[in-house]
Amino acid sequence: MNHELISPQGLRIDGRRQNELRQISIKLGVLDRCDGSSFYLHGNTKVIASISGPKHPSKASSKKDENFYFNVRVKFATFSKNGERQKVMKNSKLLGEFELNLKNIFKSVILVEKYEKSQLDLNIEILQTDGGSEICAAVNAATLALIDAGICMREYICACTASLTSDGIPLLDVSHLEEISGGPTLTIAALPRIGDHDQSVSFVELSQKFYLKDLNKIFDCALRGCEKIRAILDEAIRSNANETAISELTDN
Amino acid sequence: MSQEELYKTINPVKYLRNFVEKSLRPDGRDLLEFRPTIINKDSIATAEGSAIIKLGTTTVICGIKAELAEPDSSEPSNGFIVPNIELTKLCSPKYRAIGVSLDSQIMNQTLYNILFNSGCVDLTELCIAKGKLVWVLYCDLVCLDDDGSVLDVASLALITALKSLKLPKVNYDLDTKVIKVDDTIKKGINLKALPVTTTFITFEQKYLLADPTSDEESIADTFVTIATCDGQLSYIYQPGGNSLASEQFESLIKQAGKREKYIISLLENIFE
Repeated sequence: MNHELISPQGLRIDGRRQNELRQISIKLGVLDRCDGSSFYLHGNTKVIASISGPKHPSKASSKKDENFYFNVRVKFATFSKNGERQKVMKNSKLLGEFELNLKNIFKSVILVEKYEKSQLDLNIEILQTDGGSEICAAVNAATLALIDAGICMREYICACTASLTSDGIPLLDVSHLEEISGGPTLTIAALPRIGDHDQSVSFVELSQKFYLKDLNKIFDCALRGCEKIRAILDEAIRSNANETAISELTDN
Repeated sequence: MSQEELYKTINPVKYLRNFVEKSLRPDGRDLLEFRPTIINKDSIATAEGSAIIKLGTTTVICGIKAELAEPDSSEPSNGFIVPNIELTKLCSPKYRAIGVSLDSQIMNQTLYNILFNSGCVDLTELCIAKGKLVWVLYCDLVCLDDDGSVLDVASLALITALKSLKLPKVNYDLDTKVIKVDDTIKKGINLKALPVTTTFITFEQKYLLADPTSDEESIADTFVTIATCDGQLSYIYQPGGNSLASEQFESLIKQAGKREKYIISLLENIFE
């Protein structure tokens, strides 16, 4: 079954090469009522992330008496999945795990010292998904929204998936079809390598199993994917900042 | 904070009054001028019908998911349309973070009324087998940004999504009770009318403002929402507040009619 994942010409089911990312489209500052927002399109997944804060902690938050309050809320739109209407999941374990993962990923990279006793709210709305690793899109969208809001961060956090065919060829950025075809899927969120500063990984999730000897291959593939995504995110941020700067200058 | 923002925060009523007395609004519009409208259809591939509408910065996305169900025994050839809007902290700090708020429940009912008062959709079109199988259209709206006039944007998103709806062909065998869904053949539903809503507010009992922003809504005396279709009045909603003179009402209805023409021309452009 696995050998269909990559044809003899080196093309995958959707026509990509082994180390090609799916189409990514980014828009920043899409929402007006919050401090930072982003629209992130990756293949068939569309996500909107919005950041509200830093602000005075709400009553509910201040009961917990922490140093920095970071609330994450993820919502799947009811029309987001193919097939059945997505029922509203209340207290769902899956959502809880998703939110906790995002919380931990970002708490480690936001410069918390600058936001003591403040609250930051992250809202993720998943508008469309084909079922594959929404956490990657959520992490990338959240990074963009945080930067759009001007929240101080150590580095970009980029998330990517990678898989392995039965012949041991690593595939970058798996689509849902490839995911359910049976190969293992490695999802990582990493702070990519820039200059001398080495890359570090913040979140790893693996489904299925593969031989330990293939670990390096698939890990490297995913990390290189994160680097590529970082470049794409960075370019979007810079061109957006450029446009904003130009419009501010011409206004004055 | 700039001087202007400070003044606006300290005395929002006087701030708006200073503009309105000169027949202008803080964003430079005339009293009865609307913000730019952007309509986008078929935005979500996983939904059977979808639309994103922007009015200034107010943004609502509508996605329709169709499911099969048994009809009500009292109306065996009628399908169901269930509009449901989500107003959460994502779109404005005035709403609750999670859960269903009173505002969204009121808006759900208002959207339903607007849809059925105008005779927009004939529910018998959603019937597959009388008394046995009908379509249920779950129209889920998510408000992404609330800068006033959410009802206008939501109802426009709803009818645009309904117009872009593509339902697969369903065969129901009465004898074997087997349901066969054919995804390759897709057909839309026929909309008999396209209701367009316009929201106005009154300010200090004498000024009428069309398409209020969130700041203007918070200091308004009263709201009036008027829905028209085919140049005819189909729904009026005024949730209490100060009274309006009948001449004011008449002028509002005329404005609503003009707005409807403009919106219909936009829709015709998209759906050619």
